[in-house]
Amino acid sequence: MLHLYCLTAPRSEGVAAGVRGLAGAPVRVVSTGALDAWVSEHAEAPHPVTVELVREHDRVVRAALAWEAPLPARFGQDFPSEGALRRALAEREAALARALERVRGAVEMTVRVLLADPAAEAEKGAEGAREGPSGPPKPPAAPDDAQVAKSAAGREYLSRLRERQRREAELRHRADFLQTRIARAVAGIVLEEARTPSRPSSRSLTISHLVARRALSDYRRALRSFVDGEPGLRVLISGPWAPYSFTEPRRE
Amino acid sequence: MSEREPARAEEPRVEVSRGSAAEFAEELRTLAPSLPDRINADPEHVENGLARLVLTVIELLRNVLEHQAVRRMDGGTLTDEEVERLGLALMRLDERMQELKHTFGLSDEELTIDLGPLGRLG
Repeated sequence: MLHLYCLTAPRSEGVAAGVRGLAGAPVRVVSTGALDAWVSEHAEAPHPVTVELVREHDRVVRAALAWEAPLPARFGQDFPSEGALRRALAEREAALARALERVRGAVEMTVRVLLADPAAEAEKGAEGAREGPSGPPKPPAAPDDAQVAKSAAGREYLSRLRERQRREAELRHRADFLQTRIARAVAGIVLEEARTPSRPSSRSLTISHLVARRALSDYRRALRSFVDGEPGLRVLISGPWAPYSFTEPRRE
Repeated sequence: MSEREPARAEEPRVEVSRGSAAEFAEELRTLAPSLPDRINADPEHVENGLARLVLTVIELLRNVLEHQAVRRMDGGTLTDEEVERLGLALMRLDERMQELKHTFGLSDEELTIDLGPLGRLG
Protein backbone atom coordinates (compact mmCIF):
# COMPACT_ATOMS: atom_id res chain seq x y z
CA MET A 1 0.00 0.00 0.00
CA LEU A 2 1.35 3.44 -0.94
CA HIS A 3 0.62 6.48 1.22
CA LEU A 4 0.64 9.70 -0.81
CA TYR A 5 2.04 12.85 0.81
CA CYS A 6 2.17 15.38 -1.98
CA LEU A 7 2.83 16.08 -5.62
CA THR A 8 5.77 18.16 -6.72
CA ALA A 9 7.45 19.36 -9.86
CA PRO A 10 9.60 16.72 -11.57
CA ARG A 11 13.15 15.80 -10.60
CA SER A 12 12.61 15.95 -6.85
CA GLU A 13 14.31 12.61 -6.09
CA GLY A 14 17.35 14.29 -4.58
CA VAL A 15 15.14 16.34 -2.22
CA ALA A 16 13.07 13.33 -1.13
CA ALA A 17 16.11 11.17 -0.47
CA GLY A 18 16.53 10.61 3.24
CA VAL A 19 13.09 11.96 4.18
CA ARG A 20 11.14 9.68 6.52
CA GLY A 21 7.36 9.42 6.49
CA LEU A 22 4.68 7.65 8.53
CA ALA A 23 6.12 5.22 11.05
CA GLY A 24 9.61 6.16 9.89
CA ALA A 25 9.10 4.65 6.42
CA PRO A 26 11.44 6.04 3.75
CA VAL A 27 9.83 8.43 1.30
CA ARG A 28 10.37 7.72 -2.37
CA VAL A 29 9.29 9.39 -5.59
CA VAL A 30 6.95 7.98 -8.23
CA SER A 31 7.44 10.14 -11.30
CA THR A 32 5.07 10.49 -14.22
CA GLY A 33 7.42 12.78 -16.09
CA ALA A 34 5.27 15.85 -15.54
CA LEU A 35 4.76 15.28 -11.81
CA ASP A 36 6.50 13.62 -8.90
CA ALA A 37 4.43 11.88 -6.24
CA TRP A 38 6.03 11.52 -2.81
CA VAL A 39 4.98 8.23 -1.23
CA SER A 40 5.97 5.66 1.34
CA GLU A 41 5.16 1.95 1.38
CA HIS A 42 3.21 0.31 4.17
CA ALA A 43 2.02 -3.20 4.79
CA GLU A 44 -1.21 -1.98 6.36
CA ALA A 45 -3.57 0.83 5.50
CA PRO A 46 -5.54 2.91 6.06
CA HIS A 47 -3.73 4.68 8.82
CA PRO A 48 -5.91 5.95 11.65
CA VAL A 49 -6.41 9.69 11.71
CA THR A 50 -4.41 10.85 14.69
CA VAL A 51 -2.71 14.14 15.44
CA GLU A 52 0.68 12.41 15.52
CA LEU A 53 0.28 10.77 12.11
CA VAL A 54 -1.10 13.93 10.52
CA ARG A 55 1.96 15.77 11.84
CA GLU A 56 4.25 13.12 10.37
CA HIS A 57 2.43 13.50 7.06
CA ASP A 58 2.82 17.27 7.21
CA ARG A 59 6.50 16.96 8.06
CA VAL A 60 7.07 15.24 4.70
CA VAL A 61 5.02 17.89 2.91
CA ARG A 62 7.14 20.55 4.60
CA ALA A 63 10.31 18.85 3.41
CA ALA A 64 8.98 19.24 -0.12
CA LEU A 65 7.98 22.83 0.59
CA ALA A 66 11.55 23.63 1.57
CA TRP A 67 12.42 22.96 -2.07
CA GLU A 68 9.32 24.16 -3.91
CA ALA A 69 5.62 24.49 -3.19
CA PRO A 70 4.01 21.06 -3.47
CA LEU A 71 0.37 20.11 -3.84
CA PRO A 72 -0.27 18.52 -0.43
CA ALA A 73 -2.40 15.37 -0.47
CA ARG A 74 -5.16 15.03 2.08
CA PHE A 75 -4.21 12.61 4.80
CA GLY A 76 -5.50 9.15 3.96
CA GLN A 77 -4.93 9.02 0.22
CA ASP A 78 -3.60 5.48 -0.07
CA PHE A 79 -3.17 3.40 -3.21
CA PRO A 80 -2.97 -0.38 -3.40
CA SER A 81 -0.07 -0.33 -5.87
CA GLU A 82 2.21 1.96 -7.83
CA GLY A 83 0.17 1.12 -10.93
CA ALA A 84 -3.02 2.35 -9.25
CA LEU A 85 -1.31 5.58 -8.26
CA ARG A 86 0.04 6.11 -11.77
CA ARG A 87 -3.40 5.53 -13.26
CA ALA A 88 -4.98 8.02 -10.84
CA LEU A 89 -2.35 10.63 -11.67
CA ALA A 90 -2.61 10.02 -15.41
CA GLU A 91 -6.36 10.70 -15.33
CA ARG A 92 -5.83 14.20 -13.94
CA GLU A 93 -2.30 14.99 -15.00
CA ALA A 94 -3.08 18.18 -16.91
CA ALA A 95 -5.27 19.58 -14.11
CA LEU A 96 -2.70 18.65 -11.47
CA ALA A 97 0.11 20.26 -13.45
CA ARG A 98 -1.98 23.46 -13.65
CA ALA A 99 -2.66 23.30 -9.92
CA LEU A 100 1.05 22.91 -9.25
CA GLU A 101 1.85 25.86 -11.46
CA ARG A 102 -0.70 27.91 -9.52
CA VAL A 103 1.19 27.53 -6.23
CA ARG A 104 4.67 27.62 -7.70
CA GLY A 105 7.03 29.84 -5.74
CA ALA A 106 4.35 30.51 -3.13
CA VAL A 107 3.45 29.52 0.42
CA GLU A 108 0.29 29.68 2.49
CA MET A 109 -0.07 32.13 5.35
CA THR A 110 -2.96 31.99 7.78
CA VAL A 111 -4.67 34.87 9.55
CA ARG A 112 -6.99 34.01 12.39
CA VAL A 113 -9.09 36.68 14.05
CA LEU A 114 -11.15 36.29 17.21
CA LEU A 115 -14.32 38.30 16.94
CA ALA A 116 -15.68 40.13 19.95
CA ASP A 117 -18.95 38.63 21.15
CA PRO A 118 -19.89 39.64 24.69
CA ALA A 119 -23.48 38.38 24.26
CA ALA A 120 -22.22 34.85 23.68
CA GLU A 121 -20.42 34.83 27.00
CA ALA A 122 -23.61 35.80 28.82
CA GLU A 123 -25.63 33.07 27.12
CA LYS A 124 -22.91 30.50 27.68
CA GLY A 125 -23.29 30.99 31.40
CA ALA A 126 -27.05 30.63 31.17
CA GLU A 127 -26.84 27.46 29.06
CA GLY A 128 -24.27 25.95 31.42
CA ALA A 129 -26.72 26.33 34.26
CA ARG A 130 -29.50 24.73 32.18
CA GLU A 131 -27.48 21.70 31.09
CA GLY A 132 -25.97 20.91 34.46
CA PRO A 133 -22.37 20.05 35.31
CA SER A 134 -22.10 16.59 33.75
CA GLY A 135 -23.85 13.91 31.75
CA PRO A 136 -26.65 14.21 29.23
CA PRO A 137 -29.86 15.97 30.15
CA LYS A 138 -32.68 13.73 31.21
CA PRO A 139 -35.43 13.39 28.58
CA PRO A 140 -38.52 15.24 29.78
CA ALA A 141 -41.91 13.60 29.95
CA ALA A 142 -44.34 14.37 27.13
CA PRO A 143 -46.46 17.41 28.00
CA ASP A 144 -50.19 17.19 28.39
CA ASP A 145 -52.49 20.05 27.32
CA ALA A 146 -52.73 21.57 30.78
CA GLN A 147 -48.98 21.60 31.10
CA VAL A 148 -48.60 23.36 27.73
CA ALA A 149 -51.12 26.01 28.70
CA LYS A 150 -49.32 26.84 31.97
CA SER A 151 -45.79 26.62 30.69
CA ALA A 152 -43.79 29.39 29.11
CA ALA A 153 -40.69 27.28 28.57
CA GLY A 154 -41.41 26.75 24.86
CA ARG A 155 -41.77 30.47 24.17
CA GLU A 156 -38.66 31.19 26.20
CA TYR A 157 -36.77 28.59 24.22
CA LEU A 158 -37.83 30.18 20.94
CA SER A 159 -36.84 33.61 22.28
CA ARG A 160 -33.38 32.26 23.12
CA LEU A 161 -33.17 30.80 19.63
CA ARG A 162 -34.04 34.18 18.17
CA GLU A 163 -31.28 35.84 20.16
CA ARG A 164 -28.79 33.19 19.07
CA GLN A 165 -29.74 33.61 15.43
CA ARG A 166 -29.36 37.39 15.73
CA ARG A 167 -25.96 36.96 17.32
CA GLU A 168 -24.83 34.57 14.57
CA ALA A 169 -25.97 37.01 11.91
CA GLU A 170 -24.02 39.77 13.65
CA LEU A 171 -20.93 37.55 13.84
CA ARG A 172 -21.21 36.82 10.11
CA HIS A 173 -21.48 40.52 9.41
CA ARG A 174 -18.41 41.32 11.52
CA ALA A 175 -16.42 38.52 9.90
CA ASP A 176 -17.31 39.69 6.38
CA PHE A 177 -16.41 43.26 7.26
CA LEU A 178 -13.03 42.26 8.72
CA GLN A 179 -12.25 40.01 5.79
CA THR A 180 -12.75 42.94 3.42
CA ARG A 181 -10.49 45.18 5.48
CA ILE A 182 -7.75 42.57 5.75
CA ALA A 183 -7.98 41.99 2.00
CA ARG A 184 -7.45 45.72 1.48
CA ALA A 185 -4.45 45.70 3.83
CA VAL A 186 -2.66 43.01 1.82
CA ALA A 187 -3.97 43.93 -1.62
CA GLY A 188 -1.28 43.66 -4.26
CA ILE A 189 0.82 41.39 -2.05
CA VAL A 190 -1.22 38.18 -1.88
CA LEU A 191 -1.83 36.05 -4.93
CA GLU A 192 -5.07 34.48 -3.68
CA GLU A 193 -7.31 34.35 -0.64
CA ALA A 194 -9.42 31.54 0.81
CA ARG A 195 -11.70 31.74 3.84
CA THR A 196 -12.09 28.67 5.99
CA PRO A 197 -15.77 27.89 6.54
CA SER A 198 -16.74 28.01 10.19
CA ARG A 199 -19.77 27.16 12.28
CA PRO A 200 -22.41 29.91 12.39
CA SER A 201 -21.71 30.44 16.10
CA SER A 202 -17.95 30.54 15.66
CA ARG A 203 -16.20 33.63 16.94
CA SER A 204 -13.20 33.10 14.75
CA LEU A 205 -12.47 34.13 11.22
CA THR A 206 -9.74 32.20 9.41
CA ILE A 207 -8.33 33.42 6.15
CA SER A 208 -5.56 31.77 4.15
CA HIS A 209 -3.42 33.75 1.78
CA LEU A 210 -1.28 32.42 -1.03
CA VAL A 211 1.85 34.56 -0.95
CA ALA A 212 4.95 34.49 -3.11
CA ARG A 213 7.95 33.55 -0.99
CA ARG A 214 9.75 36.69 -2.02
CA ALA A 215 6.81 38.80 -0.81
CA LEU A 216 6.64 37.30 2.69
CA SER A 217 8.37 40.24 4.39
CA ASP A 218 6.05 42.73 2.71
CA TYR A 219 3.08 40.58 3.67
CA ARG A 220 4.05 40.45 7.33
CA ARG A 221 4.79 44.15 7.39
CA ALA A 222 1.41 45.00 5.86
CA LEU A 223 -0.46 42.82 8.33
CA ARG A 224 1.47 44.14 11.33
CA SER A 225 0.68 47.65 10.25
CA PHE A 226 -3.01 46.74 9.97
CA VAL A 227 -3.04 45.10 13.41
CA ASP A 228 -1.19 48.03 15.01
CA GLY A 229 -3.88 50.33 13.70
CA GLU A 230 -6.60 48.25 15.36
CA PRO A 231 -6.01 48.21 19.10
CA GLY A 232 -7.92 45.39 20.74
CA LEU A 233 -8.14 43.27 17.61
CA ARG A 234 -7.13 39.71 18.44
CA VAL A 235 -5.14 38.34 15.53
CA LEU A 236 -2.92 35.30 15.03
CA ILE A 237 -0.72 35.11 11.95
CA SER A 238 1.00 31.83 11.16
CA GLY A 239 3.07 30.31 8.41
CA PRO A 240 4.59 29.74 6.00
CA TRP A 241 2.69 26.49 5.38
CA ALA A 242 2.32 24.24 2.38
CA PRO A 243 -0.59 25.52 0.27
CA TYR A 244 -3.22 23.15 1.69
CA SER A 245 -6.02 25.65 1.01
CA PHE A 246 -5.14 26.19 -2.62
CA THR A 247 -5.13 22.73 -4.12
CA GLU A 248 -8.74 22.65 -5.32
CA PRO A 249 -9.51 23.89 -8.84
CA ARG A 250 -9.90 27.63 -8.82
CA ARG A 251 -13.42 28.98 -9.18
CA GLU A 252 -13.61 31.37 -12.12
CA MET B 1 13.73 23.54 -13.20
CA SER B 2 16.90 25.55 -13.24
CA GLU B 3 14.97 28.83 -13.37
CA ARG B 4 13.20 28.12 -10.07
CA GLU B 5 14.11 30.22 -7.08
CA PRO B 6 16.57 28.49 -4.79
CA ALA B 7 14.80 26.71 -1.96
CA ARG B 8 14.74 28.55 1.34
CA ALA B 9 13.34 26.49 4.15
CA GLU B 10 11.59 28.89 6.48
CA GLU B 11 10.13 27.35 9.60
CA PRO B 12 6.52 28.31 10.30
CA ARG B 13 6.14 31.13 12.78
CA VAL B 14 3.19 32.23 14.86
CA GLU B 15 2.63 35.87 15.73
CA VAL B 16 -0.16 36.90 18.06
CA SER B 17 -1.44 40.40 18.73
CA ARG B 18 -0.64 41.73 22.19
CA GLY B 19 -2.60 40.21 25.07
CA SER B 20 -4.53 37.60 23.09
CA ALA B 21 -2.31 34.49 23.29
CA ALA B 22 -4.33 32.80 26.05
CA GLU B 23 -7.58 33.36 24.20
CA PHE B 24 -6.20 31.85 21.01
CA ALA B 25 -4.83 28.88 22.92
CA GLU B 26 -8.28 28.23 24.34
CA GLU B 27 -9.94 28.64 20.94
CA LEU B 28 -7.52 26.21 19.30
CA ARG B 29 -8.07 23.66 22.07
CA THR B 30 -11.77 23.62 21.27
CA LEU B 31 -10.95 22.96 17.63
CA ALA B 32 -8.92 19.81 18.26
CA PRO B 33 -11.94 17.47 17.97
CA SER B 34 -12.67 18.81 14.49
CA LEU B 35 -9.56 17.27 12.99
CA PRO B 36 -10.59 15.98 9.55
CA ASP B 37 -12.00 12.50 9.96
CA ARG B 38 -13.59 9.88 7.81
CA ILE B 39 -15.61 6.74 8.29
CA ASN B 40 -13.22 4.06 9.43
CA ALA B 41 -13.78 0.58 8.03
CA ASP B 42 -12.86 -0.96 11.37
CA PRO B 43 -16.11 -2.62 12.59
CA GLU B 44 -15.69 -1.05 16.01
CA HIS B 45 -15.73 2.41 14.47
CA VAL B 46 -18.39 1.93 11.83
CA GLU B 47 -21.24 2.49 14.26
CA ASN B 48 -19.76 5.75 15.45
CA GLY B 49 -19.09 6.93 11.88
CA LEU B 50 -22.64 6.21 10.83
CA ALA B 51 -24.04 7.84 13.95
CA ARG B 52 -22.04 10.95 13.13
CA LEU B 53 -23.38 10.99 9.60
CA VAL B 54 -26.99 10.52 10.67
CA LEU B 55 -26.76 13.03 13.51
CA THR B 56 -25.17 15.58 11.19
CA VAL B 57 -28.17 15.37 8.88
CA ILE B 58 -30.59 15.59 11.81
CA GLU B 59 -28.68 18.59 13.15
CA LEU B 60 -28.97 20.29 9.78
CA LEU B 61 -32.73 19.69 9.65
CA ARG B 62 -33.08 20.84 13.24
CA ASN B 63 -31.37 24.13 12.41
CA VAL B 64 -33.69 24.67 9.47
CA LEU B 65 -36.72 23.97 11.67
CA GLU B 66 -35.46 26.36 14.32
CA HIS B 67 -35.04 29.19 11.84
CA GLN B 68 -38.48 28.54 10.45
CA ALA B 69 -40.02 28.44 13.91
CA VAL B 70 -38.54 31.79 14.91
CA ARG B 71 -39.71 33.30 11.63
CA ARG B 72 -43.24 32.04 12.21
CA MET B 73 -43.27 33.29 15.79
CA ASP B 74 -42.07 36.73 14.70
CA GLY B 75 -44.56 36.70 11.84
CA GLY B 76 -47.40 36.66 14.35
CA THR B 77 -49.30 33.87 12.63
CA LEU B 78 -49.19 31.47 15.58
CA THR B 79 -51.40 31.45 18.67
CA ASP B 80 -49.75 31.54 22.10
CA GLU B 81 -50.43 27.85 22.53
CA GLU B 82 -48.92 27.01 19.14
CA VAL B 83 -45.80 29.02 19.97
CA GLU B 84 -45.50 27.18 23.26
CA ARG B 85 -45.95 23.75 21.67
CA LEU B 86 -43.48 24.52 18.90
CA GLY B 87 -40.93 25.79 21.38
CA LEU B 88 -41.32 22.76 23.64
CA ALA B 89 -40.99 20.38 20.70
CA LEU B 90 -37.77 22.03 19.53
CA MET B 91 -36.44 22.20 23.05
CA ARG B 92 -36.98 18.45 23.46
CA LEU B 93 -35.39 17.76 20.11
CA ASP B 94 -32.39 19.77 21.29
CA GLU B 95 -32.24 17.84 24.55
CA ARG B 96 -32.52 14.52 22.72
CA MET B 97 -29.69 15.57 20.40
CA GLN B 98 -27.49 16.47 23.38
CA GLU B 99 -28.20 13.02 24.77
CA LEU B 100 -27.30 11.26 21.50
CA LYS B 101 -24.13 13.33 21.08
CA HIS B 102 -23.11 12.36 24.58
CA THR B 103 -23.86 8.68 23.88
CA PHE B 104 -21.69 8.62 20.77
CA GLY B 105 -19.02 10.95 22.14
CA LEU B 106 -19.57 13.55 19.42
CA SER B 107 -19.03 17.29 19.76
CA ASP B 108 -20.98 20.10 18.09
CA GLU B 109 -17.93 20.79 15.97
CA GLU B 110 -18.10 17.28 14.52
CA LEU B 111 -21.73 17.59 13.47
CA THR B 112 -21.26 20.02 10.65
CA ILE B 113 -21.44 19.83 6.90
CA ASP B 114 -18.72 21.70 5.10
CA LEU B 115 -20.11 23.29 1.98
CA GLY B 116 -16.76 24.80 1.02
CA PRO B 117 -17.13 28.41 -0.09
CA LEU B 118 -20.75 28.45 1.07
CA GLY B 119 -19.73 27.87 4.66
CA ARG B 120 -20.59 25.21 7.19
CA LEU B 121 -23.97 24.05 8.27
CA GLY B 122 -24.68 22.72 11.69
